[in-house]
Parts: sequence; structure tokens; C-alpha cells
Amino acid sequence: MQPRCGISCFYLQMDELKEIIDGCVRGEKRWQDKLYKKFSSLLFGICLRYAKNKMEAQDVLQDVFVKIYQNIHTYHHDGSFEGWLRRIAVNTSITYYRRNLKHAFQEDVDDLVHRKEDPLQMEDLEFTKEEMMQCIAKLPAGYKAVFNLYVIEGYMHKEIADMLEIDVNTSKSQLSRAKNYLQRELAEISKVKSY
Amino acid sequence: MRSEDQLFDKVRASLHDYSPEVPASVYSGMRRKLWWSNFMRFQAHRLNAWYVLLLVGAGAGVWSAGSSPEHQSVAPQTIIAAPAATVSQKAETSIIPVNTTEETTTCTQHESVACCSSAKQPRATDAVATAEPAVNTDASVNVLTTEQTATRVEPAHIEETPAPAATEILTEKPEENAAAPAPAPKAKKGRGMKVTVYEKKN
Repeated sequence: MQPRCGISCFYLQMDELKEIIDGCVRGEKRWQDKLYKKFSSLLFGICLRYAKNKMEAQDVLQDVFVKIYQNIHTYHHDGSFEGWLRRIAVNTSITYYRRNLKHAFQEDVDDLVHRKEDPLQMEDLEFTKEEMMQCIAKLPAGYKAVFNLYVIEGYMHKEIADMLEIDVNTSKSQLSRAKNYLQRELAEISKVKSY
Repeated sequence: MRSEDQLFDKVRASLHDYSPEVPASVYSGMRRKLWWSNFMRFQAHRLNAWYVLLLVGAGAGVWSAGSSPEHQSVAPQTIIAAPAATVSQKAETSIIPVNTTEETTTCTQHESVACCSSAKQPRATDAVATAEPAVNTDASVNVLTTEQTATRVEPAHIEETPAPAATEILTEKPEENAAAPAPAPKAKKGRGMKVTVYEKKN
């Protein structure tokens, strides 16, 4: 974790970031390495959420950085640079997913099986980031993609449906199934911890 | 607050800045991919696959342009030299001990090439076949051909021909045979091919 700092620190970081971006635009290896050091962990976390396993996530991360270096000249400092990087990571992960699992979404909203809510309340659930990641990793690829896009990236079902080339209802059903699965898994973890 | 929203908020809060350790091998792999990607796409200011392709194409063009006239000049020489080499080679390989006491040799078929020649007599084809005189007394016949067509000689025809002296059977070579001291040739036919028989003076 980076230490918290004031407004002067923020501007210092902005200057440093601008210098890194300009260096990468010029194609200088020194600045490319700095960018890699600064953002590789964050982007690897995103790739891990979408990928089937760690190896695939590493592969996607390499492609993400190649895309970043080759397209960094298109970034015009008019928005969040981190947001721009995140979008590239998410899009690359989705592209990878679509390439590998084109026909994963074949379910209909009518197939939904409504489960009863767990007696354990969400406030009572205790879990770490790693445990949460393990639960998400267990999700089927389709569930995982929809869940990540909706919950963490904040896309709407219509956008998700367009991105994944699926029906809106399918997106909704996938999210519902993923949520039920995660609730159940996290409740199990919390129960084990409480004993 | 609904249970769904609570779950989503918790997940969002915990995973939004999730930053696990990146294995060191990823960096080298990324560098390799970046180099290859840069190499494969056209950039005016750096070496890439398009320039390499251009260089290879230009090199191939220069090579083909340079080599084709040379190839054309060499080719006729090869064609001219080939028969002579074949004849001398055949003559050398078919040398058999000559029985000098015999005046007459019997010529028979020997593969597709046949020839009869005398050991001592001057031969009309010396200008063509420079090898040592080769007489096949074991019923083999050598034909010295300056052209690539092989001549087959029927043994029956040759045996029937009264030949007091050694004979040479040659394919038609008017300009060379004209220079030879032998008398006017008699034409014989064997299986539709013209065979010239030279009689020799003793």
C-alpha cells in the first residue's frame, strides 16, 4: 500500500506520472519499466478476476502492457490515467475470454433457481480479499465476467450484454447465480471462522 | 439496505484495489511480446518486418537478375560438351583386352550402345572418340555416338556381312567421316536405323 499524502504529494505524483507517460510515448525503456512497476500489481489483480487461472492472468497482463505501450500516445491527460489503464485491462480480459469461451452463455433467465437467503446476514460475514478472490475464481467463466463487470467495474446489464455478445436477460441471470453462489461460499467461510 | 447491495459493496470495497504480487517471469514475457509486436507493425523510424521483407525481396531480385544471364551463357557449353564426354567415357569403360591376332571382330548387341573398332587400324572416328581403341572380342559392340541417340545394331546383320577386316560401326557423321581415309561407306539398316559400315584396308 502506498502511504497517504497531502495535496502537494498528489501534484508531485501527477508530475511524475506525466513524466512517465511522456517517456512511454517516446518509447523509452526506462519509463516503460517505471510504469510497469507502478501499475503491474493493480492490473494483475484485474486480470486475475477474469482469468481462469494464474497462468492465463499472466498471459493477459503481458498483452495489457503491450497494448498500453503501443497506445499510450492516445491518452491525452483529460481523465484518470488509472481508469484508462483499468479499461484496457478489462477490455483485454474480455477479448481473451470471448476468444476462448465463445459459447459459454447458453442459459436463459427462466432457468433461474431461486435460493433461500442464508440465515447469516451480510454484516456478519467476515472474509479477506484472498478468500473473496478464491470464491470468485471458483465461479464459471460466464458468471465471473458478468459479476466483475457489474459489481466492480460498474457496467449496466445492457453494456455487459453488448460487451459479451449475450442477451440482457442472460446477463441478469448470470449475475443472480453468481451472487447466490458467492453468498453461500462466503457464509461457509464465516461459519468456519466463527467456530 | 438490501442484502444484495451489501454483498456487492463488500466485494467492491475489498477487490477494487486488489494488487497481488506479479511473478518476475511476466516482465520478460511482456518484453518479448512487445518486441515482436513492434517488429511486426510498420514504423518508419525503426527496423521492422516490412523493411526486412523489402530487403529480402530486393536481394532476391538482384540475385535472380544477376544469375540468369550467367546461367544462359553456361547452358549451351554444357549441351555441346556433354556428348563428347559421354563418348570418351563410354570408350574408356568398355576397354577390353584386344586380341591382335584376329583380323575380324564380331559385333553384337551391347546394351543400347554398340561399336566395333579395330585395335591397330587408323579409325575414322578418332576426331570424335579420343579414347584408346576398344575392341570387344567377347561379342560386345561399342557405338561411338556424337549425338545422344543410342543406336541398336542387330547382331545377325553384322555377322552376315562378309568383313575380311575389322569393321567399325558408326552412326552417321558426314563431316567427320569425310575426313577419314576409309573408302566410301556402305549403308546398312538395322531395325529402321541407318548404320554405316566402314571397311578397313589391311
